[in-house]
Amino acid sequence: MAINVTPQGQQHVERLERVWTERPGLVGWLTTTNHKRIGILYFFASLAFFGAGGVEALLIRTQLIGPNGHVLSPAAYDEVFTMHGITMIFLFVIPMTTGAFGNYLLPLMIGARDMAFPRLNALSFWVFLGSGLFLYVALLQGHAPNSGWFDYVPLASKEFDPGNNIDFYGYGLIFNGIASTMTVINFIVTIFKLRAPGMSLNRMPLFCFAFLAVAFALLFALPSLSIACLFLELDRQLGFHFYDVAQGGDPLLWQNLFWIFGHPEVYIIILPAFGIATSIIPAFSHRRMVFFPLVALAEILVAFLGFGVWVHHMFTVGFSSLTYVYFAAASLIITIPSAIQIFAWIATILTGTPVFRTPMLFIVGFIVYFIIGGLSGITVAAIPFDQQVHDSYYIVAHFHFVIFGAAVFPILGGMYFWFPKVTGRMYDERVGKISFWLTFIGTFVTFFPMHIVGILGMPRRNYTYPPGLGWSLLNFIESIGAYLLAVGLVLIVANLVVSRFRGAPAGRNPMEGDTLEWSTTSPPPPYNYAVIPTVTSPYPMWEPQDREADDARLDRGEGVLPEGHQTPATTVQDAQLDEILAMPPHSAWPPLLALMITGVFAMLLMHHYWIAVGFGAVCGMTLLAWHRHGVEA
Amino acid sequence: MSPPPSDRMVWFAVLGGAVAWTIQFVINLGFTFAQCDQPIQRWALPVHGWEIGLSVVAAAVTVAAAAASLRIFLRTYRLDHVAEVEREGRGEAPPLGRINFLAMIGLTVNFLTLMIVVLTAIGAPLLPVCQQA
Amino acid sequence: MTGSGASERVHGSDAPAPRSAAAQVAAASVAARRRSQPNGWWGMALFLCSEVTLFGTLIGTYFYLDFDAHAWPPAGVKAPSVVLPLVGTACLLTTSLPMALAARAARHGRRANVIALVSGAMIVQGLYLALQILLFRHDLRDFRPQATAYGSIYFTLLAAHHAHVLLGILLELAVLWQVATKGLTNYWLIGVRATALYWHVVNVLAVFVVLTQLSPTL
Repeated sequence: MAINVTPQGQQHVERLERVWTERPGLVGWLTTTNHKRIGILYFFASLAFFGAGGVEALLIRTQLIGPNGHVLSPAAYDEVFTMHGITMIFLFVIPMTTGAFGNYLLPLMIGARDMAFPRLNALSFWVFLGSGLFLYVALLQGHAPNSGWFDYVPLASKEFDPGNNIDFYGYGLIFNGIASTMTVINFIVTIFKLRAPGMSLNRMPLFCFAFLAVAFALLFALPSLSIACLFLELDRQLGFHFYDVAQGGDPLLWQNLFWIFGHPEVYIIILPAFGIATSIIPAFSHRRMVFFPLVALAEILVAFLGFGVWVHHMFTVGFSSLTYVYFAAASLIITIPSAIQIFAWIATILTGTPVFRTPMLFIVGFIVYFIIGGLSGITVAAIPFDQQVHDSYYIVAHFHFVIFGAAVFPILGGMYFWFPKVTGRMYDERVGKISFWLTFIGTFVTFFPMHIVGILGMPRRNYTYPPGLGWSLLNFIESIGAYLLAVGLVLIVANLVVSRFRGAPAGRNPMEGDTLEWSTTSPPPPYNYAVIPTVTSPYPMWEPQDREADDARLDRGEGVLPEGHQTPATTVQDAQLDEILAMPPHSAWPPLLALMITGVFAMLLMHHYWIAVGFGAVCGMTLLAWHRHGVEA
Repeated sequence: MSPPPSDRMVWFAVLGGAVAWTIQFVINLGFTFAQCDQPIQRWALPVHGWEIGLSVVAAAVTVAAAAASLRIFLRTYRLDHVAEVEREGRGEAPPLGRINFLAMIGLTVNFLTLMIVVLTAIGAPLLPVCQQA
Repeated sequence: MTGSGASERVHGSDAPAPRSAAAQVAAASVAARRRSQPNGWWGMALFLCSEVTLFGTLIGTYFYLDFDAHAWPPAGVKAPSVVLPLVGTACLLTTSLPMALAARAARHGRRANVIALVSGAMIVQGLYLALQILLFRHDLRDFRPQATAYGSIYFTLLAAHHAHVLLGILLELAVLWQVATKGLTNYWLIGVRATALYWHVVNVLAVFVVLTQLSPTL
């Protein structure tokens, strides 16, 4: 991307500016198909859900701060912890990593001007938002899902949960899954086909490998959850018998289907964090990643192997030892690619010249928590031990270390890292460091004692506990930790909000980053790159001759593509130029279609099945109109 | 300089083992099901024989794919400056760089697959045919 | 960018398609020069990966419940008859040929051929769907999904398959309407190819579905 623009080059830039202007105002945001705007929409929506999930967490911790708590009734507690799990996983982590980070950064990192399917991208945001609001209507109605985020039958069956709480869950997750499926299809086609010419597979940044792995994992894992929820609703609404034993069904069918989705899901949660870490580490270590091909391979392997271990969530159901031993062995094997990555990251930091600014601190925190969480994971891969601690707080400790400590820390670090690029301002470094330490210590104080209290026997999902069991002090400490953690998180948000308006102007590359997004202005222009970048390595910003070549090409007007919204499509393996694509500028169809899809699910929930079919027909007609004129509207 | 390996060779080197294992797995599953499913237990199939036979074939294909990966990897790594470029952490130009990278993936995938195939082959005959698991 | 002659040529002739007969010629020449599958084709291929996984899960559930059961179908439910479903599936499979030819015709810009081939395929598929609906209703009179797990998975699996056939017919209707009224633009050329791909996969899935459906009698 051009850093030194000649007057000739400036003419080309002005043509692009005219073609790619965004529509102003609210209408502009509602009808946008630009991946950066959609990324920002995802960011704020998932941040809002993070807040909601955080409030739910604080309610839980306040209820459990002492024995015999009365903050929440048992029924309310059930709804709160269930919604906490659902919100954090389906409405925060996945949309934040894939929707916000993925959407904003992937086209920039591969040298493209947008995603492969910009309108589909917008649609997946509006559908996600619809699904999130759908689930929260349940909470507002007082009928939130209440049998845990994994919603086991028979507790979730009509017999034991007759209200519509579980229906919100069943329909809501199918609804949410539609958004994710569309997102990952977009990711895969974008990564395969829209890379800048010259960016062959071995020259693709590691962030892209991580997201490619996430995308394939989600694509193959979601159907299992959707079918599980379909069966659940068929049982509940139409009296089918998938899950009840008396008529030949099997409650374990739910567990198997759920965890065939659920285990890959946790790798889906952590892989984007790996991608963010592999972007931040080389930048702050001033060194290319050690063992680049092995790290790329490990990211893909984690996603693949994650499909073969799901029964380790079911060690107490009563399968035979042989089954359990296989799954325990597979669960141990999966630590190998993770370990390869950890060693590569640490080696890169140690052999580079690391600078520990705020984003890097979060990555160090991530490595610490990933190691601890991984170690507790190895302990629960041991069948006899897991059979003792299953459904206790030991498990809660393990997964919060890996989900919060290891998946969320890179998100927080990534927010700091790319904040200057997205907003054009620098955050406050001192406040950033304080926010890191509060968050790091808060996380530890909240979740570490859970290992101990779990081994002491405290079960999960119980709304209170009696005194005298040795749990009270530890729970008190955990709750204090949670409040501290909340302060740290609020400080992060406050830092970024204030810096947005008062921060020092950031240049193009204040983080000394190595990937292409650091070559644009901060924030990037709507068209990302005035000239499609020359790429000869996975670290384009560290190849000065390529960036100079870009300046020269901009001057000559070669590779500018100013005739409408254009971006090149390339071949999958070697990224040879294949054709020039026209991108749709903006469209009202995505939010309209999302509204219609919401209508379908709302009508299903309210048992108005024929009206739901009607909404479905309207969806079909909307799709026809959408595709009528190709990419022109 | 000899010509780079053909596309088909690279595909085989990367995916040969995985495809062989998938076929072995699906057919074995089918056989076990046909033999052990109570309502269907009409077919008297030599399940063990088939399992071992399929495993041998799958293992052979996987070893061949691994060998192909190794050969491709070494051939491309030794060419000109590929090794130097890769060690520097830059990416060698396609197609050689890409082929080298894919060959490395193929080596790992085939090794993993071979382990899975061999372990299955050992496990299957040692257990009674329709033991409920 | 290598700056070879190829890039200039591609850039020059690839403006977004205007609504004219020239668009069809332009679309065909773009299609001829492509070296890898177009994005729309990839999008459909990946969507189909998800759908195949859905059917894999449904079929897996069928055999999971079968394996658990002592009698399958359970007492009181007779096993499905073999002939009509197999014949129907065989007919459905034949429609892959006109769809493949339609995709090829689209790539060469032959609009009339596309319309004829897609219409022909659609008629056979429509008849297949009608037959399947009749068989479905006939089965419903014999046994209900609300009675046993066998019924639940049997009818859900078949309903999922028929829904995909219906969706395929709707896709063809959209293609026909668009190509007949606005011509074979680059966008809809890819649409024809994507629809053909959809049908190939649905047809293969139909084989697995019918074998699963008939597994008690095989």
